[in-house]
Amino acid sequence: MARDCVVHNKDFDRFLALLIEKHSVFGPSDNDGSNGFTRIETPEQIKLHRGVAHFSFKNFFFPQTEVLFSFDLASKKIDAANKETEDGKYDILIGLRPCDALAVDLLDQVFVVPDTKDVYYAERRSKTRIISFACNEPCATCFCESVGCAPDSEVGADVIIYVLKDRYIIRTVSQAGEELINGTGMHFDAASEKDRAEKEQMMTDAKSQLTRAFSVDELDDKLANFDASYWKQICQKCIGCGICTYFCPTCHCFDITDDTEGSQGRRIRTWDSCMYPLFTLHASGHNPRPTKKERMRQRIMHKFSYSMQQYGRRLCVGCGRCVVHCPVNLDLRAVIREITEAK
Amino acid sequence: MKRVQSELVENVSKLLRENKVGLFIGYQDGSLPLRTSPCFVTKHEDVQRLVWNSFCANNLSVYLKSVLPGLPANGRIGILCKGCDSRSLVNLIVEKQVKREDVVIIGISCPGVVNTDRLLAHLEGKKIVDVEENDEDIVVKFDGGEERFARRDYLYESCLNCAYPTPSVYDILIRVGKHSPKPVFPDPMINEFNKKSRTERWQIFEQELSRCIRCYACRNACPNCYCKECFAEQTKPRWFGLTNEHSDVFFYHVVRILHQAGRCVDCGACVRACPENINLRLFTRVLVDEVKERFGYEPGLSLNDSSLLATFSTDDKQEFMAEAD
Amino acid sequence: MSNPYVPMPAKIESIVIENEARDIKTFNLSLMNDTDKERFSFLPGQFAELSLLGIGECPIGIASSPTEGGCLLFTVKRAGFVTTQLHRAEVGDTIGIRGPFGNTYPLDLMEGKNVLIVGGGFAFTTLRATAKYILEGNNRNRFKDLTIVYGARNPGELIYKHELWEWEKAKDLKIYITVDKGDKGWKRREGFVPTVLKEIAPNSDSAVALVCGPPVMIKFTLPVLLEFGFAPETIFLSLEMRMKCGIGKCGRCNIGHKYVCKDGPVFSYAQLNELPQEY
Repeated sequence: MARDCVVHNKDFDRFLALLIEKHSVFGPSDNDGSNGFTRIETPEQIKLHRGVAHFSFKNFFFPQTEVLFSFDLASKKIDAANKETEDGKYDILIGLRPCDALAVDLLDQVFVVPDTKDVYYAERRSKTRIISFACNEPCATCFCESVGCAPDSEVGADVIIYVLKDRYIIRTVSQAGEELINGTGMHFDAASEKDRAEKEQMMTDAKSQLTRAFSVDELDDKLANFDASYWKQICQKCIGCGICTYFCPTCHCFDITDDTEGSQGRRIRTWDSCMYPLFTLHASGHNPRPTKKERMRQRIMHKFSYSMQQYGRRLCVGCGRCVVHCPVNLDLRAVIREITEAK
Repeated sequence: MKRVQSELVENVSKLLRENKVGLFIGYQDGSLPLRTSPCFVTKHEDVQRLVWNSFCANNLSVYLKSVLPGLPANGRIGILCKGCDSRSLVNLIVEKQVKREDVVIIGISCPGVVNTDRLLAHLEGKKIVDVEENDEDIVVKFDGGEERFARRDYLYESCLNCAYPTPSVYDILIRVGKHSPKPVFPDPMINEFNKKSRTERWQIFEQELSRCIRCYACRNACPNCYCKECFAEQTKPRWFGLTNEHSDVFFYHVVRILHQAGRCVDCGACVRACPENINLRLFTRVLVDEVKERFGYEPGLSLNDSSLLATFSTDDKQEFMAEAD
Repeated sequence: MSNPYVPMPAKIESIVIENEARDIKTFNLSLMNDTDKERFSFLPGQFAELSLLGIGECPIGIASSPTEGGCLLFTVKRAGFVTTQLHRAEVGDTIGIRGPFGNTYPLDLMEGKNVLIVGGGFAFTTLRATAKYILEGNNRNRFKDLTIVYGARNPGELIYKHELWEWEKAKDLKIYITVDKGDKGWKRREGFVPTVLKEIAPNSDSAVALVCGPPVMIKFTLPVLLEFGFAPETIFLSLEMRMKCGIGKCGRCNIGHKYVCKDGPVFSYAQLNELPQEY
């Protein structure tokens, strides 16, 4: 069912313009603010950076601040706004790298796949189509292949675009992606053997730039030892800020609080982090994770072990943002390597 | 630099061997180019990991603000302090968070720390192979060549006008280069900022903080922020919302920075930690200058200091209480 | 798609102050919308998030059995921010309920078996729900002997006092009520719950034990149960954790790979032994 179409450089803006005309398009630009994406009005606005964008696109489906409902304290009336979807009109999230697209699929496991769905995430997700761009030039901090992703992974994307020298190959991955491409009304040449060969070569080159950061083969066994001695050393550098969790495209912990002003209020969901000491503090004063050792262990175990048991997937896509932004250069790759090599 | 590094390694090795400390906190090579990373050494075989170069940025005093897991049984910790780090440490001692006798301080009179991001931006993605340093320059060797940079051109802002590169307290001192700058008050950046109109200043304030994602890295990287329960996360009462909307973000920063009055030593750790490159110094330095002007006080210079805002003196200036806005 | 974050309005029908220190109250709530009433179907062991608009939520075990006809009892100790505000509420006030959440006590496993309920302090809430469920006419012969051991620090701290005295007189269960330290008027036994348990020498043949209480009580009760031959697979505990969403999404209440809100709060001792000891 997957279709490979070719669009030449000179026609690519027209392709984008057609999407922009028919749908609401969001993607990375020069001025994303703290959202990580901008509403795209013209093709020129889309700015693809080398490797991963600064922010993940987590904010799109799982905003840092989300109003669950508003209320009136006098009448106790609750207003849970549900946005209506216009038939046939979608949101398009364009410009994700395969790691970020995979991350969306992983967050789906938490918010959408279980019987009890997160309504806010699920509704936004169901009316969004994802167009990703394969990676030609991974960054030095990328380690997607170490966690089972790849510069050309299609998981999570409806359409994936390969950027060749003077043209693009647009591959439809899902039925929704197929409909999206057909819906532009544009004529596409089918990709030829030559096109495919060039694409393969680019991907081979890209993959050769990635170094294997660690091997997950023995990780399950090693992490089964909850009381291993290395946790004391691993956590030492950590200063307990939330940068790694906030930049991580799959971290999904949140807090629910009530925000009031006078007699009006709203119940809001905001990002939270297991790295903060108060995250698990009981009202009684008891804290199951009293020091950063327990909290670091929880973070690593959740991403690499518990999630395997919960969803059959590891909640890490190898985007490297935690490595880039950690103020003390606590390198997750080194941590996992140390764990796999521990006796 | 290499001379300093071997002097450092020798000193630390001796401290560990003689059991003067059970743990030494310094820097090791980072896993990213032009970075170092905090290093915790307990065995003297591991001292070879310790480095000293122009990228030793982190304020290591931050690790003394709470009990470290894995603390040695004999309790004494050795720590490497640049000028700014030692002033943070002095403040922690003055505020009774750390006991002087529990730390052994190897001080380094620092020539300034290089802003890695700016240097990397200049290098435009070249693959770095090696770095060499001398008193003035840094030579970065990459695939296909090398480039020489004057250290002074790439220092962090907080280092540019640093008045106290030599630690204010130490047990052992390692000198790096010779320079004795004069304190500059008010800070030139703040001076320029204050010349702008009120509207302009507010706009800059808004613009800088619009990038804030409330990751609390600024707070956690600051040695002064050691509250077990930060006002930002208190529930009884809840002072303000947890959102990343403007009013909540402003509230957080304004209050946190006000809590630094008389305590901030302008080490720049908050600015370096911020993943959004928010110029937090624009706000913190205002307080540093204000405290100097009103009280003639600079924190972190003497172990005999009393905590400024916790101490009252009859000749404290009082005219601000009657000042017009 | 129903929204699991929006609370259902409920009216406070009555409030009972359970203990002398006056910091434990039982709220009788009735859901105000018929559709909510119909949908709210639960079994003993489950909990709900009680919601106070403008304040927040707290996860509270459901202290009533579904056999008690329409009322929903929640016994709440005043501990933190939300529970303090909840204690200020009055009869007639509206509060919100989200739920029911969590798993139940293993009623299937308990069928045809002797049931031993061991509770301490105010953690007895969901155990009360279970006892009422078992004792209900139509249910009673699904289960064999019911034995309850319940204790508190002192007589003033015992909750559901009136029911306790009634159960003493009832024929279809056996209850041992104890306090750590009695007062002048106290005529019943004195002793820690684990000690009393040991004295009554429970029979583990074809039996299931449900245990709920403060950590120190659990710590000393478990060895007694094991000593008397209860296999870890037949001992069940109900755990507490800091919670927010109640549906296994906010990532806060996990023990290992299990979320206490979704996979618990009821766990067998055997299950807990497999999980990291981090609670």
